[in-house]
Amino acid sequence: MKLSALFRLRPFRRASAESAPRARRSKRGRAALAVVCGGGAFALLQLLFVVFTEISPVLSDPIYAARERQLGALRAEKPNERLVLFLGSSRVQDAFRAGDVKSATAFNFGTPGAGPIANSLYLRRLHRAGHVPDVLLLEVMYPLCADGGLHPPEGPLITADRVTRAERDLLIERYGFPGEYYRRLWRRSALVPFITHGFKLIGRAAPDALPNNQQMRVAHGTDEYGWLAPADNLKPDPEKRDKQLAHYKPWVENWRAGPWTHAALTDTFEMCRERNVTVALVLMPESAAFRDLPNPDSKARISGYVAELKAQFGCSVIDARAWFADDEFLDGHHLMRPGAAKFTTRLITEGIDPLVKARGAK
Amino acid sequence: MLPLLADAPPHDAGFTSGLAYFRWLHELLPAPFFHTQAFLAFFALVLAVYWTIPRRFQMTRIWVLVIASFHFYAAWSFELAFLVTGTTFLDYLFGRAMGATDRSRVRKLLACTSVCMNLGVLCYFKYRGFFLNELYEGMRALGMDPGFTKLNPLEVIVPFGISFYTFEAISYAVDVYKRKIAPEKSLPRFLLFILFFPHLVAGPIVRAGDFLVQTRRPKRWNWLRVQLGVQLFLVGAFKKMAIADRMALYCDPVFKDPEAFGTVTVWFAVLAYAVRIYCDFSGYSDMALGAAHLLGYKLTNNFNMPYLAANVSEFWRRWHISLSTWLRDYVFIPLGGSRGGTWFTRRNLLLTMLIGGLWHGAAWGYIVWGLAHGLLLVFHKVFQDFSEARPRLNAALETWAGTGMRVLVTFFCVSLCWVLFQPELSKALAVFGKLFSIQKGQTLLLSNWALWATVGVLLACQLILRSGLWAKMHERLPAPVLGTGYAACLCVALVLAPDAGTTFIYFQF
Repeated sequence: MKLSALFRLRPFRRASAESAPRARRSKRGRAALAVVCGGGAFALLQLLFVVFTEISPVLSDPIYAARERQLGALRAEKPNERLVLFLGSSRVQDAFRAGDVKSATAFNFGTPGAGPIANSLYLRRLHRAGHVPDVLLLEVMYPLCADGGLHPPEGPLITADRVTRAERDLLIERYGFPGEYYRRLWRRSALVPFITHGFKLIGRAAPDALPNNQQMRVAHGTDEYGWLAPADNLKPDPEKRDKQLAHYKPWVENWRAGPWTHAALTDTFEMCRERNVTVALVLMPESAAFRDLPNPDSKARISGYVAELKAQFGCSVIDARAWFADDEFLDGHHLMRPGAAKFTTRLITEGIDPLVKARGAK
Repeated sequence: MLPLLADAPPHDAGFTSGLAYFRWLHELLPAPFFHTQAFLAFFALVLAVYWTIPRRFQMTRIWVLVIASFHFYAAWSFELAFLVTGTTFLDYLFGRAMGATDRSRVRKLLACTSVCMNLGVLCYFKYRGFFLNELYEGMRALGMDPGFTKLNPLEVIVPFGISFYTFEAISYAVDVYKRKIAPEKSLPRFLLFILFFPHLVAGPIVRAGDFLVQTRRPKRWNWLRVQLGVQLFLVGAFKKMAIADRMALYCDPVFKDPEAFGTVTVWFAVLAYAVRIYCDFSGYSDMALGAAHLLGYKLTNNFNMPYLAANVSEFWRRWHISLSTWLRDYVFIPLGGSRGGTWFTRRNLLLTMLIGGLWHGAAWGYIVWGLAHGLLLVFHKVFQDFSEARPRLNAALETWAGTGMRVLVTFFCVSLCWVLFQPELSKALAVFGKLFSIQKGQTLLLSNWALWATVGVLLACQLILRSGLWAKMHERLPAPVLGTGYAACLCVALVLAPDAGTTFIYFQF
């Protein structure tokens, strides 16, 4: 039988009495074929999905993928300019208007919940994709640099479904992710990818089907330079601030540098050194309440740690923690729109332009 | 085993103690829900063992199913699994005893004992808390000392599906007593009739006459049946995961705190709840039917596009068919049915629906829901008599537009009644308060187009089924296309399933 015959619409037929057993056999064969094809197609679709997530982060890590796509488009537009990349958390994402930078092409690669490990992972991916910046601004999100005990604080944030097999092994072996548990989660996401990535798939295909607060606006709502503009009508929200303070307090109050995050920072610096990338560490603006969250000893340890990084890797440090008054923040650590403009202007003047100038023309 | 969805078993207190074997079993199969990976693994194992046994060892196959069913229930609660098995065994003995004697009085006594035992167990587990608490409140209101403390409803353990298998056992006792069926002689066959895991926890309510005869037929692997089973299971999973659980996102927050939401949002929540409850229960029933077909058994079809019913009477012929026919045969007709006068029939309708409401749950919400449906049925009878006396009105109602209007009105009434279908009557009344007075309040974080799209797709599917188009297309579609359709259906269901899956609504009954 030709393969095309399998897919042809069957004609309407009235079975005669003699042909009834034959028709029954044919019906049974058809049913068996349908069930077997269904099982096979399901397995194949799952397999294809898994292979696809190993090759591309489009479905597994849509926020990263959206940023990388934007960065690629920007680089294609301005191939001869220096590239300034700002890797960091949602603080960076909301605050850095990369489009305002004139001395080079700047891109805001801030993503929610990204700490040193996520940034290191992203930089690895970006290098693989051919995006090597000339200047890298690296946020020191010190709550996520804290010593989380057995595992790093970023453990719950970099979920197993977001990473490839190789990245999973790296996270376990080098950055202290819980080995067997994390492997199990990864295997589960690989075994039933339609469940694991379903939410992200809907987020891409039909975001309105999700509740507003889960629509991953951060993946698609940014401008072409990666800035996620805060809404115009925002006002400081003490309730949100208190929630955020309570959330970060356990990490920050008795802060100590964690070994896993230090390994990630070391790797990031090493990658940059290999590719001749200028690195500057940035401590993002915070309200007074956030700045006072660490106890005096912890404050000293944070400053000491940043100074140690500066000395060890020979990078510059931009400490913007006290640049703004409390009323510029929505929740104590995310700047609102006017604050973002002011922050960018000052960062350009005090950080980006001198660094770009030092690199010279491309 | 990981659940397809993040279901937490509703009760696993029993597993803090007990035999290690059952604790281990509970870890493997934490909840008796069909849409979990654990169940699929369990079912695959049962299928493999069942079909590996040669056809001539039919009794071995039956024992395999009985043991599997017992484990299915024991994984949730082994004490209650023993209780169900114990009462089933007693029902078997009562049946055998009825068969062994011709003395009418003894037979009647045995039938009554069987019915009372089943109702007693049902009342003890399901209604004890409700009635004692109502008694407590009543005595306190009258200034009397009740002499006992109030029961916390959350601490009362209600065995899964107790209402379903109790009704099955009662129908068996009554049918044997009335000599409609012969008492079953084989214990494993009878155990399978009650314990068969596809229908054990949420129906459909099977009749001994329909089921026991199937246990005698040696089962042969039949691809047509397998295809049907797979289709039904997939459709059920799709209804449950992609529609019912998604609709829960609309209605659960509103029904939990109706005061917080605006009138329009509450109306949307009522619509979403109507869709949810249908897809949840019919989805479960489809999965049960599909699972049974894969094992070579046919269960009663429980739903027949109920929201396309043109009146409430028709709705009850299409909704939860196994329950409505049970109520008709074992409550309405024994009460006298429609053989008496008009008022007598109306009383019987009201009483039957009241019992139907009480069957669903020991709470005022369910009782009032049953009563509301009883009133709707009475009103329909009155209106039917009224319109039949007016040929022009009757003709207008029979037209395409008239039928459409009747379907809409029926859907509207049924949807409003669903508001009552929850344990807390006060919350239901709060929802009604919001529905019929324009009030501002929060809106949901969800876009309404997804709700309309779901309703539209569901309606289109029902119309395609009703028109017979699917039956025609199904015959003509090439097998690989059908198979790919099955795979696509499952993939879409998995993608659309919200992260926190909810348990089946009907499991609690």
